[in-house]
Amino acid sequence: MEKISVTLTNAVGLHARPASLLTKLANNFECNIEFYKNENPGKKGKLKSILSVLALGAAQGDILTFEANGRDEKEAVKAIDAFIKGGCGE
Amino acid sequence: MDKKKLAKDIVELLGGKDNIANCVHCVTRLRFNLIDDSKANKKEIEELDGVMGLAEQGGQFQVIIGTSVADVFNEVEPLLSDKAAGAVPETKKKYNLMSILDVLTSIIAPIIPAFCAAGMIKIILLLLTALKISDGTEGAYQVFSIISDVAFYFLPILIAMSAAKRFKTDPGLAVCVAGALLYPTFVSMVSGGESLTFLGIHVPMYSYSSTIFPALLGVLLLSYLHRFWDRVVKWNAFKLLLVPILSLGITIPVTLLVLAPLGNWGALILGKGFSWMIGTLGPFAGLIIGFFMPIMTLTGLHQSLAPIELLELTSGGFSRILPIEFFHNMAESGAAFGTGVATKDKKFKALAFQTGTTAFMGVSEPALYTVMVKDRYAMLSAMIGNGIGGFLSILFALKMYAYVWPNVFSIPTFLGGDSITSNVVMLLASIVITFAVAFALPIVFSVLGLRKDRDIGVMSPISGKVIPLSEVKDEVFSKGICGEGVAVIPNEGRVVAPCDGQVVAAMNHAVGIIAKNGSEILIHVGLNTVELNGEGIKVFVKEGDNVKRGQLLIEFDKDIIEEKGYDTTCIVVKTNGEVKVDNDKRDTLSGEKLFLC
Repeated sequence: MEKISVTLTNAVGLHARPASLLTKLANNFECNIEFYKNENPGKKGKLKSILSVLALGAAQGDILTFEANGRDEKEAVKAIDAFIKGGCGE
Repeated sequence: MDKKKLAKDIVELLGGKDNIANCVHCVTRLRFNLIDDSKANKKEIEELDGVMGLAEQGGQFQVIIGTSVADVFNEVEPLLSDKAAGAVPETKKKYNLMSILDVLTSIIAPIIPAFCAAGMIKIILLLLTALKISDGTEGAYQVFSIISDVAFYFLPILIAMSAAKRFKTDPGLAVCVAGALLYPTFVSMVSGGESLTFLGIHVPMYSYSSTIFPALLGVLLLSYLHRFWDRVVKWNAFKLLLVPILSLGITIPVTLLVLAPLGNWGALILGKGFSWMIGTLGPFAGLIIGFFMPIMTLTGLHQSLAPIELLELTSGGFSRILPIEFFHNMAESGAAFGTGVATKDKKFKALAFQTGTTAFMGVSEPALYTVMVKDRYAMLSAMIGNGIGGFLSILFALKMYAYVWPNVFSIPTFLGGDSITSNVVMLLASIVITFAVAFALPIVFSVLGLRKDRDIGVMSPISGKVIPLSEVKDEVFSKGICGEGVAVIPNEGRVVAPCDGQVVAAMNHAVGIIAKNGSEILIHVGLNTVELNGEGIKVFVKEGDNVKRGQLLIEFDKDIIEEKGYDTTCIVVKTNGEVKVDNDKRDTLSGEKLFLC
């Protein structure tokens, strides 16, 4: 398993646009990716579902932790890290 | 253009293979996901010979190549680390039973209307003769008899036309390939028992009327040959002449010599298999044949049973396989009616009852292609029902004493042999049991929660003007990144639930609902309205709420939002798959159907 924590920087959080882009990015990878916010693994979301990403309701400053499991987990985590740090395409 | 060099240059200019997390291609573009976007030299890539342009979208680098993208991709692939390359998921070709079935269904589905017309007329004609209203010799009867038969006799032509579309080849040439199989000279040689040699090779002589695979295989070959010659013949002036000649000149002989007989031999082997099975396995053979009968009918393989049945009739005076086909109609009918009762989708319900009736009358294809292919539990129910029917049929030694279209009107053909009354009692009992099992199963599957309605109707959450997503002024929606659906330019501020389901995401400007069939529906009010932070918008549901269609979700003040400079277009998308939109340019009222998903 590959794990990474990133702080969400974009002003309006993970709303429809960044969520869609993030899910699209996640769907490029084979591995299963789950994520949760603010170190609370009790409420995990699936990164490959837009609604699941939206449901987490991540806001600016939240710490997002991604856990990827599968063949291309390293690449997936790298790509997600770059995406979040790059301001989620906004 | 040197594709190898182009591929190498692209990869290098994107920051080398280590910077490429993922690469796929679609029809015209190479799509890269880069680990570090800043390492990409966009300017130089755009200037490469063979690159038509560059687009960045959704964190993806798209290098526009044009139609030769697949060739370039083939060169890019070996340059990447072993994990990064692949075809786009939606165009990824997986060869398995389901994809073959999918190809068959997509080829057969468009010609079903012709079958239905023929089937219904056949039943009416049977009824007319059974009731002695007609003796089958009148001119009108003859004409209608042609209608009832034409789609079957010329089935290879219909298949060719439809297959040409599916395999993306020239329809005119495809019909010629099928026409060759039915050409009068050839047909009369077959029926006259004459022989034909092609350049010294003996041509197998079979009748190809009412067959599917000979024409299908022929058109498949044509599609490859046509593309091949189109590529090879560089001289444009001669293309028009040479490509068809070379394509047909090879396809038709190969089809007559190899492919068409192959299709027929396949059918014959199948036939021998069945006779052997009934001999050794008894009722269990009926169970197996019955169980697979719906699939065989779906793929048209059941046509291949006709010669076996005829053989049975001419040698023993009765057929044991024909009754299993008879039970197939009963099972399809039962499963369609059962599914009609089980489904909540009104349109699907009506369709199920309608096709269930048709199946009971003896034409199972409409039920198969509209209900069974859409609902795998309906299919399974039909298969189990048919299996039981087949078991009982062999167990009770049910026989049909004439070759007929197996339907309710053909019950008289069961009468024959010594024990007429017991035969009829057993027959009626078997019909009732088969129908009842197939009818009950979809309902049982639904109660157990296994069978779910696949298509649900998504209603408009608001009144206004429906527009296609492509016209929405936000790329994430207009390019379909968020999912498929439509947008509504609202003329009110009341947003209601478009379907029954559970709220899984409730934000201050959008609500996400999971419908009963698993569709994830997002209703997004306005563009960039997340920035309003709830101002002018009130959300009435929270995560975990179960909502009913029409229930109030959100109220917003159109004027306030528009004053602040935001677009209030409401977007309704399914975020996890395809939808079927009928009409995305019209006015709608809140609660009117937007799409199926």
